Amino acid sequence: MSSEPQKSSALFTFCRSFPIYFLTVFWTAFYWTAMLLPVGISLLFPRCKRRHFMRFLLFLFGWTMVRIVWRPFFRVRYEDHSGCGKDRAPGIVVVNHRAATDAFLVAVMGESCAQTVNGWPMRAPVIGWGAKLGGYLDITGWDFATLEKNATEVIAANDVIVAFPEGTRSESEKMNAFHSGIFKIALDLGLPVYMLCIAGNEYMPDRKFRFRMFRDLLIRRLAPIPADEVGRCATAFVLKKTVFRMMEEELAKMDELLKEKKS
Amino acid sequence: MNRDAIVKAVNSIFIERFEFEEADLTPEKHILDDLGLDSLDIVDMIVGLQQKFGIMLRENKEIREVKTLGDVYALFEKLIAEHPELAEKL
Repeated sequence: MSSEPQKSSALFTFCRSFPIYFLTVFWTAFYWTAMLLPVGISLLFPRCKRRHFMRFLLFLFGWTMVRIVWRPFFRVRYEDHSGCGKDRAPGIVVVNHRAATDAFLVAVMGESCAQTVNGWPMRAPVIGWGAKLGGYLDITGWDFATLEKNATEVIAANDVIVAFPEGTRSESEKMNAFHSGIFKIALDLGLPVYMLCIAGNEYMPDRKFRFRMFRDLLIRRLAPIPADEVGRCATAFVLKKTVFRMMEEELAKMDELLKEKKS
Repeated sequence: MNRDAIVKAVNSIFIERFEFEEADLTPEKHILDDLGLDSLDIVDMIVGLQQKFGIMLRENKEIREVKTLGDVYALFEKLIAEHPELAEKL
């Protein structure tokens, strides 16, 4: 059974989408104006500390967006099954990618992170500048050696790297095939792999950035694959397959749960 | 060296390095679309094939043209016909 929303008129879709975009733009402008001074001061810090601080500001921005600004439209239930608590080792968080909101939704984990992003968000005004200052990883614009060097810096700052290995939004309950790059970094640097599954937001928004529906979301952090287990994988491909299978199984359960709740 | 031995040697790379089942490895399988390898995995595949057959493939243009597993078998059939000493290393 698909959760694809019923087709509605363009006017109706616009009326549904406008308030959330209005509040999103308003909060973005307000938040980053308020943060101009702290960001300015952080430019005096050494690069590593500045990036760590910017990642915290970006996390806070995402968290307030999801938990406060978007709350009138949909609720997000977050379940942490990782069993790590606050003692988690820095590593790579693999996230499925159904919609553009995912980049904000990862903030529910409650920790600073550097996200891997395609070239275009890095070039976007405001968010792109923040991403650059925060040391986000340009997965398509950099060669592999640069990517790995920057990933090492993020890990050294005790932050996690959030990756969307599908590369693009799936806009459905099925995951796209994973790319191997981030798994090769996990293998090369000997990092644990965490998995974050996001269900319910396949059309929030759709590929044309329209909110065709609002529904409550479920986000689960799964038990990690520890670094020693990652190290036993013969190649990045094997690790990629393992992670894909685990996330696919969990997402199927989560989608069922959301459908039951809806019905 | 017959084709069966080449197929077995190539398949062993896919089994050891990528954990495929032998039954999944048929000549018509597309390496990217059916087996799900991407460009980084192809590098791992080439490294594995180099080690298995004891030949450098970095400069080989034909390895960049392979699309299916059958193409890989055919390439090594050709390479072994040109360099019979490779068969001794298996």
